[in-house]
Amino acid sequence: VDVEFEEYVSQRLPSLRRLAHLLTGDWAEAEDLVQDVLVRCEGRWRRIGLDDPHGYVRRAVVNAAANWRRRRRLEAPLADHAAVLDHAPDVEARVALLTALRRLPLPQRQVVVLRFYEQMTEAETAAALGIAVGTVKSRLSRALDALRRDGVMSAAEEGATR
Amino acid sequence: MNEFSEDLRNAARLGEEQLAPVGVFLSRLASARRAHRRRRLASAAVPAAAAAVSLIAISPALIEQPHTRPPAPGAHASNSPALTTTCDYRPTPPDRSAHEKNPSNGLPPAAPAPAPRTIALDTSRGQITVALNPHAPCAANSFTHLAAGGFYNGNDCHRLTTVKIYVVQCGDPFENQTGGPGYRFDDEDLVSAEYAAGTVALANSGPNTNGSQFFIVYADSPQITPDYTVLGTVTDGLEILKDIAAAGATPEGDGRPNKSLQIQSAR
Repeated sequence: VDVEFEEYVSQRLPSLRRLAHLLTGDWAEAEDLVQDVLVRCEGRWRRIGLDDPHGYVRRAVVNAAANWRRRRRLEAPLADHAAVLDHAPDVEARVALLTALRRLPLPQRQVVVLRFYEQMTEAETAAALGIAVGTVKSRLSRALDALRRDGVMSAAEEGATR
Repeated sequence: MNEFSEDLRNAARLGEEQLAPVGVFLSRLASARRAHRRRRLASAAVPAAAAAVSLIAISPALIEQPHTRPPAPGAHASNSPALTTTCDYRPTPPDRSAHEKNPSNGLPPAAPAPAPRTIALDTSRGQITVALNPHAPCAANSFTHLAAGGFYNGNDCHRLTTVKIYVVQCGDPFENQTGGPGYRFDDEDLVSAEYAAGTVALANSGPNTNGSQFFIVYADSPQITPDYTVLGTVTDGLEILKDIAAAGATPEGDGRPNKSLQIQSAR
């Protein structure tokens, strides 16, 4: 079990941390959060393994990120990416995208991240978040509108989403 | 939208180089896991089903943050729980207010009144009597406070599970599994928590998030992890729950009970 678990972690750690990063907007929190989730999952690993371990852990990360956000919202604003990064040409576009993403309300951000970063279908996104497919669609459309307004989606992509 | 996915993947990596390499992360994880196992020795023999994790929780969260608060006073009470217990009932943040219904009589007193030894649930299908767990004074105090304020009157038990874990869950003011009484309080006596038939325990959404929701175990459920404060044990009326369970749930396995069970009053 241990070997399997560690193998899973080494393979998936980068993608789990990136997922948490997109959801929280903060690397340090992303790292802590993924560690917490993995610690909690380890004891349950044998059973999780029967089904879809990565799906399970991803859902756990999404939930933990939601709780983290709820907890912090009243305490401190999120750190500003732009402040800590130097401005190589395409870094700027990435910072703009992260910033626009962070501006979305959490439910919209979750849908965007699961649908387009994790590339889940609408049905999978709905199942992972425990919401209806219709809700996924409406959140997604509001989120994409906001991202367009922030100018972080290219013209080509805009056409494709209509 | 492939391009947008690609943009997101690139953005997600931005700044990644500041993180620990996988090897360092793994060794940190290993020591965190050892510490976690020590904290939860009691759960070692009971690996929970993935389903069981989310099933009991009030919130849809699957996995919660680890304990960040110290255990409540009395959390590891011996045979004679201290009489000086004080309880920390924390109002929930305003952003959850849509999910909360405050009891008419406010927060429970921080110093619990001597708890009765039993509580009675008068339900639409008969009386259920529960002997209270003396090692969970804050849970008992909260329950009797809510009961006295009529919080549970008219409450339909909103959930029945018939797969892997065998519970009927009640006490949500909104009957959709997300609701609470406007406050949260800490877990108690988890070290000896077991979920045999008849156990009544508090539902939660992670460590130290107890509210008004509770579940009654109608058949032994070893797959429930010891994360739920035991309020007491049914001494009379368990057949009512078994009867509800036999009628099944919709959706099947985990859903609203097909045969309703309403709490008319609790005392």
